[in-house]
Amino acid sequence: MTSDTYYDLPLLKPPVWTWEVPVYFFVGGAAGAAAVFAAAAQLTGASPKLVRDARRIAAAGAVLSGPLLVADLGRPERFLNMLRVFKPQSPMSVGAWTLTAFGASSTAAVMFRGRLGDVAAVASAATGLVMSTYTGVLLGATAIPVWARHKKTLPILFGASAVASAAALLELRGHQEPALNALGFAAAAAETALTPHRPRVAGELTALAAQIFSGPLPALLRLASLKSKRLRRVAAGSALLGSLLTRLAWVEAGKASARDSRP
Amino acid sequence: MTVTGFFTDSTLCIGCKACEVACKEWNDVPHDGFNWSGNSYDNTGALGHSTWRHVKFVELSPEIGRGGNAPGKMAWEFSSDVCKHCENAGCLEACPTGSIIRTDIGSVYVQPDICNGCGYCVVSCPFGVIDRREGDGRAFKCTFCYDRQKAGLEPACAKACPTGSILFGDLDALERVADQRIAQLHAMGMNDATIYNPKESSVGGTHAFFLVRGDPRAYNLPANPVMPTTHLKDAWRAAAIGAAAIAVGSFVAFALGGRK
Repeated sequence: MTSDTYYDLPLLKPPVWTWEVPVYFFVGGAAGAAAVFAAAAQLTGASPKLVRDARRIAAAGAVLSGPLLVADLGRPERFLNMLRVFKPQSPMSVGAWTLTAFGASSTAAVMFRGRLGDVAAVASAATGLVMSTYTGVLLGATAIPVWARHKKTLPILFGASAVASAAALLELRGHQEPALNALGFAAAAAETALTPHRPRVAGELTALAAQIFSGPLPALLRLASLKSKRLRRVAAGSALLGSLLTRLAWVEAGKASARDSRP
Repeated sequence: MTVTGFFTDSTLCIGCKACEVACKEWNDVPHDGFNWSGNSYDNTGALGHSTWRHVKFVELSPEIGRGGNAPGKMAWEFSSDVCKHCENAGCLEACPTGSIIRTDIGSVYVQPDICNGCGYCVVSCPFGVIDRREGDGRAFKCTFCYDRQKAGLEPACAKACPTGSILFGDLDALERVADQRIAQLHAMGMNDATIYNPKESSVGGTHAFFLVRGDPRAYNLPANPVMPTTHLKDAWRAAAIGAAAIAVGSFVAFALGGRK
């Protein structure tokens, strides 16, 4: 009889990523969805104030994303090596180039007025769609068992999480358009529906909190807010916290999965 | 140049760790802690950023034909592990800087002057080999002694191996040597001897392959290693569905409820 493990030692190496990476997933996702909102709001004739704020959130998120990713590198001074090659088969490479394009276009969208700004906003929205979903591909297409098992749901879950956080940020800025409540509700409903596909890490408080704050709680609060407007801000706060916790929980789940000798 | 490989024959390994020492000396690899594992004579545990050859001390239960052990005593198997230099390498495809390359001798090599320590190769290796070195910040693994090979020398570990357990040479020739060795061992009654070289998996075979006994998982070798790029299609399709839903949902929401 031979054993099916080597002294129960794990086969895989856990992710070396620290807090900056899941926080970037959160910030970049929210910024990406905000850029889509800005374009959608402008094309459908929503208030210019909403469009301006959505563009600002996109640009602020893009500007924050860069330093977060650079800080996580083992050799931060070599961050430009990310743009040395383009490899479509590497989600990390696709992400680096997307963030570069997203950063440039969303910054231009707030810096320039008129036609130039509008063209930049469209480019920002297009790259924003990738920003809000590719991080799920980044985790799913790896050797980490729990991530790879959820490759078909992670990009959708992270996309929903991005929508929830972008809507929440605009609501917390004081915007009360029903569209934001509807988008927030749809995102919370999607996140609730994807709950069975979340990692079940025993005793993992973050994962549990992420489930509650991002899914059922904001969904119920948003329904209730149709009667009582004040609840929208509470729902927004819950969704924002849930969105951040979701990313933290998934990175932590990857570390736990890699340390498992029988994943 | 021809494609070279390692054939590591566990049945010849005596666990002397000369390969580990030779590797560390030649490549100037730092120590990775002086820890007691507390579970075996193996106090290193696994390959890592600063362990490029690692001798595993596999304990097998006694069985007639394993040889060399008194009844009731466990049987030793030693096996020198190393980066597999995969035919389809997860780390190489994942590397966003182009630091990890395929060399002219078919090996997978990390260019230390390019690596920026993003860590994506670490989660993309199905064998858990490559890792980021704290303090240095870059990812490291076996170089297959590219410098020695270019100078016409064999890798340091193979040179130091006193029993011929680590064989180095032309990959195709080594595979024939391995087949002969398996036939020889089977003829001797060692029927559990097998070659570990996952050619049927998405990794598509490895340039460093092994002769082990019984279940390869007892040697911490995965039964079916999966190349992470095989997940790309499903994951990007999901991302496209998500992106389409966000785009359409946003336009519909703002068209219907974009005003207060």
